[in-house]
Amino acid sequence: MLGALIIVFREVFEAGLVIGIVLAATRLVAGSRWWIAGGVLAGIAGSALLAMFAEVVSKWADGFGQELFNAGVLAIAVGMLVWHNLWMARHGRELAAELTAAGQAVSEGRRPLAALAVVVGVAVLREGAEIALFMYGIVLAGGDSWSSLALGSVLGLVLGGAVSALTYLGLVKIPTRYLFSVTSGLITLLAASMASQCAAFLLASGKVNVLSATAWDTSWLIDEGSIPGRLLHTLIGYAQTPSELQVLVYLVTLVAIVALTKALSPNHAPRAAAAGR
Amino acid sequence: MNMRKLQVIAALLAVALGASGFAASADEMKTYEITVKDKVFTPNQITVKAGEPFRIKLKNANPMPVELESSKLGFEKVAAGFSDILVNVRAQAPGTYTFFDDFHPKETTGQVVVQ
Repeated sequence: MLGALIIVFREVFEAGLVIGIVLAATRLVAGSRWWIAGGVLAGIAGSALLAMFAEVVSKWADGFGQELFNAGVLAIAVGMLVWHNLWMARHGRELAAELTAAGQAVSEGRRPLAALAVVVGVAVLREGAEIALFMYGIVLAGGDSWSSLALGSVLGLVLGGAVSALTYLGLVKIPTRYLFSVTSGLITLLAASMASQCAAFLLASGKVNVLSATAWDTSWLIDEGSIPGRLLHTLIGYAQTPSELQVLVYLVTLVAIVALTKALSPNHAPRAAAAGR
Repeated sequence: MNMRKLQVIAALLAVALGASGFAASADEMKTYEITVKDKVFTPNQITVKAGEPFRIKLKNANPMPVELESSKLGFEKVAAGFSDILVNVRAQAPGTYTFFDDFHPKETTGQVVVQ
């Protein structure tokens, strides 16, 4: 049972973190919970479908369909995160002004919630299909141990939910005026991390073959499979043996988001506009 | 904003197209076949040349899915019941690397010896 619990928990861990961060980032936005719940449900439904058609997907692209599929959904998630952060850069100041004025929530639709729902959906989908296959395997194998394995899997899922809750509760302890900067920072790192994973899948598919050499090996320092390793993997994109392309894509994404955010931020506009609201 | 978005998309497309132009023919890579049946990899050890990328073809002879994984060699891929998968592995430095079925990470393991 413990084995099944650990396997499932490791898979849901990453999605749990992402959901927690997005929940905290949109805490004050009316209707955000519905969007996020929708993202999670769509991710679960997608996982079941993907698990069902795993063999078909595998056969695409001369046997590298899984890699290209993963690269594709990650690219979509990165696009959504970039869109969200740029939108916030443009409108964040107005929102902050409204927050101080009204003292609380802003109206629905003041933030690209659909973008974040897609990101949550992708996070669930990526790991969910593996869990679905794992549990399908348990049922298929049958035998005496299947009920205890199933129980372990369910407990693993529950623990994953606890990771979401802890991440959320930890983040919302941060005072509101800093929370916005912290979650924007986390989302920027998440985007860079997902972009670098996308690059890793493109290389793994063999369809892209540039800068494929291993940049460095830090497996002696932090094992990517351990819980600290997984935490860093999700939060900042830690990879113990990244390829040069992964490192490059990571840095380019990070710099691009920061530069575009600066360029679009109304900071540069006369402050009167913001103060006048 | 829209103009800028278009420019970003155009730049990304250019990068993607540029990168795909470099795609090498992976057919020249050496492929090592491994079968997994009843939680055992056969062979459970393969020896490859250092500094050369290679491929592993895993035949899953079980009705249950398996997930071939190695964080050090950089792959993690599911094989449905009674099906085959291919994984590309980057050129590696000499050493011994472990791979495993992530659904039975303790029981079902194998090694790649790079020399």
